[in-house]
Amino acid sequence: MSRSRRRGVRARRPRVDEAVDAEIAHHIEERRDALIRQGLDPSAADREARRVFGNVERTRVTLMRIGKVARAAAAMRRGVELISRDARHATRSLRRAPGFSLAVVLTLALCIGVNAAVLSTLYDLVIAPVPASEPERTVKLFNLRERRSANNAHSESSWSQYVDLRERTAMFDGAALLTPLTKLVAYDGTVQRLEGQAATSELFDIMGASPVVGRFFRPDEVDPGPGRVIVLSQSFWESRFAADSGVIGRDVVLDDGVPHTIIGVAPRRLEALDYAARFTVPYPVQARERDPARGRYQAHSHDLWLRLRPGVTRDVARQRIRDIEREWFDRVADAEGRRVFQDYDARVAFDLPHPLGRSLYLVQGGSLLVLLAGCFNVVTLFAIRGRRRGRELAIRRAMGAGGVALRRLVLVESLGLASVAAATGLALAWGGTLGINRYLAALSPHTMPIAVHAAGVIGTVAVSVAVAGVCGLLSVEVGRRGRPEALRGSRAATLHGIAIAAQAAVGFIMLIGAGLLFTSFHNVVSVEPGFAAGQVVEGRLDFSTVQTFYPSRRDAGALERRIVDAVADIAGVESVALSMFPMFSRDLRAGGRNFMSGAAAATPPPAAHIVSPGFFRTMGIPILSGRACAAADDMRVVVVDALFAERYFDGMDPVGLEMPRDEPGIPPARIIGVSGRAHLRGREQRDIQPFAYYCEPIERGWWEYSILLRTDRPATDAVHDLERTLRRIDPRLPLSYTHSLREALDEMVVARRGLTMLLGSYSALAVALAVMGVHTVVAMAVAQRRREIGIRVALGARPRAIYRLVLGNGLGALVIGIGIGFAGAVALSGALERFVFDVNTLDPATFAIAAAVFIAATAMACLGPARRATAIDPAATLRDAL
Amino acid sequence: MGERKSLDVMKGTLELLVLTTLGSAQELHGFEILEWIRDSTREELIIEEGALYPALHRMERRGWLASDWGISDRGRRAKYYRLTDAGRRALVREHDKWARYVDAVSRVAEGPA
Repeated sequence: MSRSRRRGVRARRPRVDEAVDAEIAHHIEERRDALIRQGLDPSAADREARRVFGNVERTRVTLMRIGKVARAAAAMRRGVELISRDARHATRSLRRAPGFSLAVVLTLALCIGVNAAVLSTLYDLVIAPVPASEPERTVKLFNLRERRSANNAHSESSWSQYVDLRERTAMFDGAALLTPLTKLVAYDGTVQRLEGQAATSELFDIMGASPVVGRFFRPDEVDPGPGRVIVLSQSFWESRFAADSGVIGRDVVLDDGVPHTIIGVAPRRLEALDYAARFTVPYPVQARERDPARGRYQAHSHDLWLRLRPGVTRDVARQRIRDIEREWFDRVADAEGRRVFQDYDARVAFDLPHPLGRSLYLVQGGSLLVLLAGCFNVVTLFAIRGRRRGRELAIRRAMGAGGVALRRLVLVESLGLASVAAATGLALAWGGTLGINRYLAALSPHTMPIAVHAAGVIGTVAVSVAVAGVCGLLSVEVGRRGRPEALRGSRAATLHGIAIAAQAAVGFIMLIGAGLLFTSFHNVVSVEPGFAAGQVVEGRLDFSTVQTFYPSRRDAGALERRIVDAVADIAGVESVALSMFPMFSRDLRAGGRNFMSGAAAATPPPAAHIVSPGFFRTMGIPILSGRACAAADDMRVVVVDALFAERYFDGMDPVGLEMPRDEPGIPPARIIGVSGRAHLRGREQRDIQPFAYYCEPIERGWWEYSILLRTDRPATDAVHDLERTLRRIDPRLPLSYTHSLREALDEMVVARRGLTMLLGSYSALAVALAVMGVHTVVAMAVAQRRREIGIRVALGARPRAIYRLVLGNGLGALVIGIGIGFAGAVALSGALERFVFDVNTLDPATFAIAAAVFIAATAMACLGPARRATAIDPAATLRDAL
Repeated sequence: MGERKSLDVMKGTLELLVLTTLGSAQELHGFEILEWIRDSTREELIIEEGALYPALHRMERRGWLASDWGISDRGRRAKYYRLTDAGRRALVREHDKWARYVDAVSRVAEGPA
């Protein structure tokens, strides 16, 4: 057997099919030659060679298949190898330019993060469709008041409107009524006050929802009825019941001691209707019958959802509803109904502008501007790098790297940067939404938390990749030609100027907004509350509980006395009192009536508290004149606060005078004392409502009240003791709303703190971008004018002249930007009017400090490149030029 | 002795034969591999000649073999195969497997005798 030695000639690598054919043909020829050498004649040898080979065609097909797979795999391996080589190379070269890499990544990441976070917020709060499976056909009805502004339009509907519209089946194929409620929920030995909602059974059908487990309720399952049922929200089911499907069929006890059977769990999507609602129960019958002739638009927070029949447009539906409402007004409404609803014009809407919509669109506009300017920064950064790399790329080309290879290298580099930036930016956006959600929970507990949406993620990644790709290729062009056409001469200067001005304007506006909010926050927390917030602990007994177990006022009064005496015996308790309304409650008004007449009626009405003896001592509110409530007092005597005396009695001592009021049938109360001003509606309501404290004896028999105790022990210990004492008296009494008044005061500024922090971080980002932008442009100018600067230095220019030359590039535009920002801040100051406290929205100090901070930050950013410019070695630049 | 009937090559065995062949040679094209096997087994084994190539190509795809096109002694364009490092490791592995297989089968086959 001869071992053939391959000759030095390497044959061309053929295509797959050629190779297969050639290999088979070669084998058959070799065999034929061998057979001929054994003595067969050529034609017989040929036949025999094919016979022993077997099925040529089948072998061919098999080999082709194997070959194609193999080649594809090989091509992929080669591609991966090339790209990973490029990636290694790119990593090395980016590591050599850390300033550039960091600037690009930070700029893109900030832009992406800000835009993704703001866009997600805007989408979830303002743009998101209703949470129905057919959102275009599903509408919520808003009854509009003609005489009020759009802000006063409201959604409150009623059972009677629901019944009327439900029957118009030609227009609607579904109608559902929904209203929020709170109930005490007893389960597994715990009692909690929870928010929920009552709904008619069509709700789930209209929203196109199917139960996560179990089922929803049927039209015949009503409240009250033989079988009481409850549907849980998915979040509540997961957090409270660990997503156990075994809860279906078990009972929870609501308010009135009636067991309700858990029949199902509603999907998370429906939580967008009311995020605070933990459960849904059937709409209660007793709520249905209330005043059909006058309750049309004032049932408390009733939402009416309608599903339009396919083909019925919103306009037609609105028109028809208007006719129906006019008919109700003419035919059904009684005299009182007509009087109450005289400012309704039977107009309805299906969408109302979100209260935050305008602000959020403004912020989004600003963010887009920031994104544009950021992209321009990145282009400039790449252009500078392209210039710096011109020589490196030229050497590579001289050493045989083709244009394609160079572009691939640069693309890999810029896409690598873009992906790092996209990841950082999305992390930022995610962190941002976490922050927003934390404060959204305080600001608006019924609103679903913000999510970063897939569409937003894809969009932002696409934008950053596109920007980076274009920039990368541009930088190759710059490297090849020395300068890009687009960045040459006066056009470049104009573009740079616009970018800097835009960034400066947005950054400056944000900085002023943040400054105003920060000052306001500081002012709010500096307000003295006017009572001993740190030493008073509050715990509340609930109306439904007490009334259920102590139905007569006498029993309730005896309970009150026992509680007060027992609490007074707790170690460390100095004093105990009761107050009918919770501290800082929004319910705290004089029954909503203005009991002043004349000029005083124009100011906000005073708020009335009803308090027990010992209230002022317990709260640490001083009595300025007269006396505090005593055991023998009842509601015929009242203590007013200093603001009250000032506003209604011109600051004269009103003790002994009668409390004026315009409510008929109630005997006037006599003022027995004037107390110090205590901000019992929170520090931000400092000078808004005067207070009148009506005295009531402890044994009066209230069904719901706050127990206030003054103690020198820590609040948690005091709450614990209070709970134990109550359990000893009656274990059925759940204590809710327990806290020290200091905690409650702090809780009230959570939303403000959140807003301040959000605007603060946003403005920090905007300023950082503007600073980086200015830095970039100045650095670019230094790079472009290197030779000129070198010559100037050679001719004896002093560093100061060089500084002026370099900084002149950015500062003009910066000043214009700050000017625009100033004007913008003045124009937009109205948007912050609601949020500032004790500071003017045009506060000169804030404006001045913001401008100083901004200019200082940008000046610092220019120092680096400017110093580099003065350090330019004239000899080196001249050498480069040759 | 007379005419002895030659043995069909069992599936999987072909790969061992190819590995062994290339393990003792430098570079061979398909026909040479076949002839080498035939010579070394004194024509005891019958291999359907066309079946050799799918085996070669699969082993190449697996990375056991590498190939190059060259010009043969007879002046024809031919595809030459050689063992890669992975192929050498595979040869040791397959050889070991085969030895255990033969050992086991022969113990059963010769057991009762």
